[in-house]
Amino acid sequence: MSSKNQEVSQPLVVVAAAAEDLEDFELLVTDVARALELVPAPELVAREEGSEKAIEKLLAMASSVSGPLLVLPARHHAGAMPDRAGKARGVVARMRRVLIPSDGSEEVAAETRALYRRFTRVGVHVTMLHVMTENNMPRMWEGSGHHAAAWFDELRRRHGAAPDVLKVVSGEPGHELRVQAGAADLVVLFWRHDSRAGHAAVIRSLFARGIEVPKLLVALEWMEGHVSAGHVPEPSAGSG
Amino acid sequence: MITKLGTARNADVEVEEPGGLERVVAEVLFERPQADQSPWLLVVPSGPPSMSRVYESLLTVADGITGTRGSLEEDGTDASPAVFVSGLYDTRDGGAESLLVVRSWTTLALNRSFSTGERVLDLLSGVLWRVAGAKDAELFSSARWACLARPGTTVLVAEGSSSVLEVPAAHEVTEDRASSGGGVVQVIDTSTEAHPDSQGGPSTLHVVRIGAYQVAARRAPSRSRAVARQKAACQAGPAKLLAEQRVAWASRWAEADVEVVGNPELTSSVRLALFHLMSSVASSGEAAVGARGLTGPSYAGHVFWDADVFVLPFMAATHPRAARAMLEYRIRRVPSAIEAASTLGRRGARFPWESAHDGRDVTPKSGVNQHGEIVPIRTGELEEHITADVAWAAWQLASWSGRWRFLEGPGRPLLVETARYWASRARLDNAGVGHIESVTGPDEYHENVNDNAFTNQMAAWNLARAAELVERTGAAPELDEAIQWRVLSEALFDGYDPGTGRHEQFAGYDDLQPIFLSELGPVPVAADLLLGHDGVARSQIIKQADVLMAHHMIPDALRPGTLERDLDFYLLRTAHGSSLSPAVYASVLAREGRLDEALSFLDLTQNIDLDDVTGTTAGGLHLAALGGLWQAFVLGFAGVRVSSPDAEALVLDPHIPTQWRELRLKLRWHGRRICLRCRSDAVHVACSTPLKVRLGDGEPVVVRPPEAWVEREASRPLSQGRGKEVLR
Repeated sequence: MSSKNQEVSQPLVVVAAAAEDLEDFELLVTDVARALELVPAPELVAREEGSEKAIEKLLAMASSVSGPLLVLPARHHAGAMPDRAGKARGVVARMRRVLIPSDGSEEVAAETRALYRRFTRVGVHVTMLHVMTENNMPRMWEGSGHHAAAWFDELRRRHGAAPDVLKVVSGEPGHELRVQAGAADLVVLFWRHDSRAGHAAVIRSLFARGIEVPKLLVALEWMEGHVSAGHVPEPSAGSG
Repeated sequence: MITKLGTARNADVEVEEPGGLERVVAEVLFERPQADQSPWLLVVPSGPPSMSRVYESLLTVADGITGTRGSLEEDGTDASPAVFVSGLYDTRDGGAESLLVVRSWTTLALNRSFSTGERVLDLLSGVLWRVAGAKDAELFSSARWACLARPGTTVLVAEGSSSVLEVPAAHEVTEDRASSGGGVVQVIDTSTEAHPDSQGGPSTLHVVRIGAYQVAARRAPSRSRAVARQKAACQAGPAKLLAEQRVAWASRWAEADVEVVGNPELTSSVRLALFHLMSSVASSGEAAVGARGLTGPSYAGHVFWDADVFVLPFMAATHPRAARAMLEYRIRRVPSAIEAASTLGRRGARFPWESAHDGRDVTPKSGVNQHGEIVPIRTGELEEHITADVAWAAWQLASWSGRWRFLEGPGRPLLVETARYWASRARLDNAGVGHIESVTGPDEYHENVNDNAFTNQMAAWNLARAAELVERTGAAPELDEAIQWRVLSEALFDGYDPGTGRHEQFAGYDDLQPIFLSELGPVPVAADLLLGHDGVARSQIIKQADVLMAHHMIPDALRPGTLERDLDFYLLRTAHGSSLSPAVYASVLAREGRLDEALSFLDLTQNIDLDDVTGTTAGGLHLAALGGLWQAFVLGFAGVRVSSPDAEALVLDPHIPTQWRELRLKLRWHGRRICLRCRSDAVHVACSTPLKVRLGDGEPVVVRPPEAWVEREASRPLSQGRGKEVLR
């Protein structure tokens, strides 16, 4: 495991069930670390994917670190893919397609936008997913057509997204995320660093149903202090 | 030493005053109001980027001809700077017409964005002020306004450290053409001077930018006229232009103000609403008032019933010239409306649901839903009540002004041709009952219904008023036609069900799934997003006031005693998914004396844009909600009834919440200026000429200038359905 930016001392905690998993996802870990300008700090955790106990353990770990936590799927879940040498092994993943769900709140929109800039800068295709629920939908909706177009345009601009980057669906967030995550190399999950019961519901749901996609848990508090404060140029119109 | 860095190209249009630009700029910026709790100020702090476009809409400065969004001078990626020119539309990519967007005059090269500072919109003078930087170390300050006294003229005055502000361009002339063949020429001159800091620090730049827009709707705009107007403004100079601005706005407020004594927050909200209403409508020519006025690009600048029903009454009651300009827009498009009716095999004039330059229907046939999927849009085909709404607007102007002259002259087709349309649109059944089938009422959750009570009642009202007009002035064979209109007006089914004692919204509505709003959550709620398009269509949940819209617009035409029952029934079923709805409920609830409920809807109405309740304020302010707010005060809480040009007395029936000490209104009625101080038991009336006033069902009393109290006769509240106004 290495980083191209050794000057940065902030850690990116990488959680894997086995050493093989770390190897399989080495390129992806490197990509994530480069985008976030962090040094990978691997952690091996023997975990049983999907069990309640394992989820609580993961969340406890995520709570104990201030920075991002990259959780790799267990190797036995990963399909066999040829590596660069054409040798069959686990997943030799790169970070090419990232899914960032947003609840549309001002805070998450701002941080989604900041990460979008970071990922776009290193050539990654980002899809933002807004799952409309009764908790985050506009209280007034004048209808399809003019209103919907204006609403979507503003939502997109608050996320700093080009028109084809933001996708809106309706439904149960955990389910919709699982549906969309299959097309991504990485799912970014913002959270409020609170693992108490009743919090982090979407994260729990995703881990409980075991999607085989690496997940990056990022605390909003950390984003505000690190990524958002950085001066990364906005992607030009049509990028992403 | 003062360094002149950039000036207008022509020396004779340069801003030249003793003391140079430093003094000119200082004179203007000295007048910046101190941010306090004044109900004349909207104070906007440096906010999160996500709010930037909402603030731009709220901080728009306009003069009825041009509207300039309140973007920061440095713009940036979060900004949507734009200038909109009233009535000019552009056809993009072969699609429908959209309001033409021209380059903003407010952009300056600031090399950083400021996280501190604030902007203050002074509603009393129409000036947007800004300071940026720390409180004790302001790095940039500015003032800008659109000249109400010289519509189409704009002024920006700024002062900034050379460490943050770069020298702007000196002279710019641009021309934008509309799809109609018309266009706008923009002439802008910027004068800049640098004044060195005596301590050796960065110098201070002083900037004065004066622009003029010359607009022509159907031909090439005159560049020479633009230059001449811009030159005249430069010769006046910013200080004089600011003085003119104060006088012009004071004149408008003198006839339009609303004050809730004892509630400065509410006063501030309603003044913000009135400010944007007044800013959005020209006082001469024709005024195409889009759903977002001149504050944003949403709804493409198209003209809906929002203009006729929600905006126009305020204009008719405060600045009739503006109402007349709005109706001129409709009058000039009567030929298109006649053509539209003819295409459908009808007679008369059928106004389009969405209108732009030439008056043809520009309602899109499809649009996106919340998921970005393309879905059909049927409002253009079905929401036909717009035709009666236009007639109602014309009647409003006549009723507020007390003059038939407009209706007998240029406004006549707005009543007569629309009545002719309804006469050819309605069907009489074997029992002689009139029906209008396949329409959508204001409640767009239920499309393509039969006998929508609102549409039928408005059509009946339209027919009766046109007959009244023709009976005054007409001759055969029009008089024969008027007799038929009277008959049809009486025959049209109004939705009343004697079994329930209320109006059924449309045929079959009562058979729908009886879901109450309480099952979905507190209002407003986007019920169509929760239940889906088909789900709301199957239910009794309605998007907005529909039957109650008729009670609001034509209260004297509905059956006596039905308001209370309709309110009780539809209140539980109205989602208020439309920004047009809460104000109407506030108004009719206030009329009924249900003041706590009325206040709740008033509160919602005043916050629609301030709290961005729809998530779309970034695209412009909801002008109809702003107009609705005024109507809730005037028609609801003050209980003003304006029903006919022939009315002999101003009728009031105030219901004032105990939390308010007084509701103060300034209006024009039948050519008089009136100031009202409304309390529930009495009204203080100040008027410019003698005025007959009736409170509730009391006897009219004559108030002689300058003023008098009119007491309510305790046992005589105003009832519905007075005399000949009752249709059935």
